[in-house]
Amino acid sequence: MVDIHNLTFSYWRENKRGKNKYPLFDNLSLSLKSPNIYGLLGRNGAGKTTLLKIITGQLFKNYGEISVLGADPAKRLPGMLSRIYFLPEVFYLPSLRGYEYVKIHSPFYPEFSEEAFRKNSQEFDIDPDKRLNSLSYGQKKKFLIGFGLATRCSLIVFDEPTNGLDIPSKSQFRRLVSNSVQDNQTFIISTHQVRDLEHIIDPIIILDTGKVILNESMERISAELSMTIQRDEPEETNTLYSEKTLGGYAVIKKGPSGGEAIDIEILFNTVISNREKVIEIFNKNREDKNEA
Amino acid sequence: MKLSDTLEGKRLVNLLKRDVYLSWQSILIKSAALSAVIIVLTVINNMGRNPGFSHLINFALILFLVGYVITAKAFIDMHSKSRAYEWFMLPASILEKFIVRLTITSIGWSVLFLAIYALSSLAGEGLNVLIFGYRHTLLFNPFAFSALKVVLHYLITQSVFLFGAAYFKSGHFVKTSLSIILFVVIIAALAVFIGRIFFFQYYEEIVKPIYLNWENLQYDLYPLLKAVSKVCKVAYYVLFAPFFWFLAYLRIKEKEVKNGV
Repeated sequence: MVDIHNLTFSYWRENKRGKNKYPLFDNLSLSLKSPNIYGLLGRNGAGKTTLLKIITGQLFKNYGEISVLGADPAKRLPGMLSRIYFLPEVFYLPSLRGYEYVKIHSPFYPEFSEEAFRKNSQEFDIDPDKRLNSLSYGQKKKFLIGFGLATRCSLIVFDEPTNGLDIPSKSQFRRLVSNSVQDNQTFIISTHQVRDLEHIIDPIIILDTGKVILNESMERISAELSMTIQRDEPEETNTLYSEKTLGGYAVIKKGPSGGEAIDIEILFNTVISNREKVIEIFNKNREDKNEA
Repeated sequence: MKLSDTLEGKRLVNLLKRDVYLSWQSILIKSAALSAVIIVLTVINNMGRNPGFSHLINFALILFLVGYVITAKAFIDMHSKSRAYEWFMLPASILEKFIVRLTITSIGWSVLFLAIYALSSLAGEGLNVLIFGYRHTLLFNPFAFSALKVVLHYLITQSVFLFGAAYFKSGHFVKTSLSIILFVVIIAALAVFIGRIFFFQYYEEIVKPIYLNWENLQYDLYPLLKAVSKVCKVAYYVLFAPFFWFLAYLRIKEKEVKNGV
């Protein structure tokens, strides 16, 4: 679906001394398979949006190899674009009615389903007869999410989809995405609002300092790491990370989970603060499995 | 790469439909405004029985000026921070997107304006007869060779503004116009400089140091001037527009959606 090998990407910023080159990705490799709903996490400025733009052909790599749906995204071939739907955090909607938007944009997506769009609009409580510029930011976003899901594209990319959605809409979004995903589809959802999406995103990709430091399924993560809530401050040597929470400490330890679900926000903090150790745990066990 | 990856009729039609659908209201309002301007111009020029009045000149002026402004905005969504992603992610090739915008701003605008001018000038002349009892002798004929020749010149020269639309991020019309002026000034200065060096004997040094004795030059160098004129004509009618279309296409192909990156 998406294969990235040794991607290098730098951007230029102007300051008082002139234009300077800032490396963002250095030999980044990533492989995404279907059907999955990938959660792309990273700190501010880690390059999540940039990576999504490179995958969707909006930005061009400096070096490395990228294949998206078997094509080079930088070529922006219609065959590839008709199988990708991208919803950025800041989006544009023309001054049209909802059904007019669908009428002029759906012919570009061969798998578009009017029925799915109608259902999505009903679920989100969006009236396609209304003028799109009269809708609120959240409603506009819901309209585009509904349209995007109805395109049935092989690769659906959402950048911060739950930003601006009200509480009921967030659960509607989770429900719609979970119900929409098909065998040939991959979703990439970049988000800071991990709590909004923690029950649907799996695998988790964590991006930091220009590299993918974690790209693992929740099953694998639970096999390697465990999370417990304890009253006292942890002292054990195999504690990777602990965080004071209401009523005790959330502790992430090395070793399989005893059935308790891992909080993705705490997992993220563990990976960021204990980067080398976490990489070592996942790499070591992968090597052991390969040897076996 | 398959041809269907670059050019497909169905996608072209869908793109054209989309662009027209998104701007038909604006087209309608602007057409009505232009129509009103043409009617007023036709009537005002009839009041004093202006003998120098020519529909063709009015037609050419508006066709070129408004056409250049429209063309300069052809890729405005490509440069917009909030809209660029939408245009680039639209499932069509860059060539198809380029062809559609070229068609709309060249043939599309010319045909629309031919119709608007023909109908509006006819309405204006009708008003002239009603109000003054007389009208201009020559009516505007959209199928006349002279009108079509004006359109041909527009189709050729608008390619520069199409390139400006692709090249400049903002102020496309002003920046393209200034670039053309700068280019013409440089070429003129260069021509004078070269002329002074190679054809110094044709300059009347003492009386007017930059005055070129054109008649003598024409007489002496007639075959050369004729050949240069032929080359220039071919370059203008055959190569000029495709050259700028190609440059504009390349610029769009290389354009990225940066937004601060």
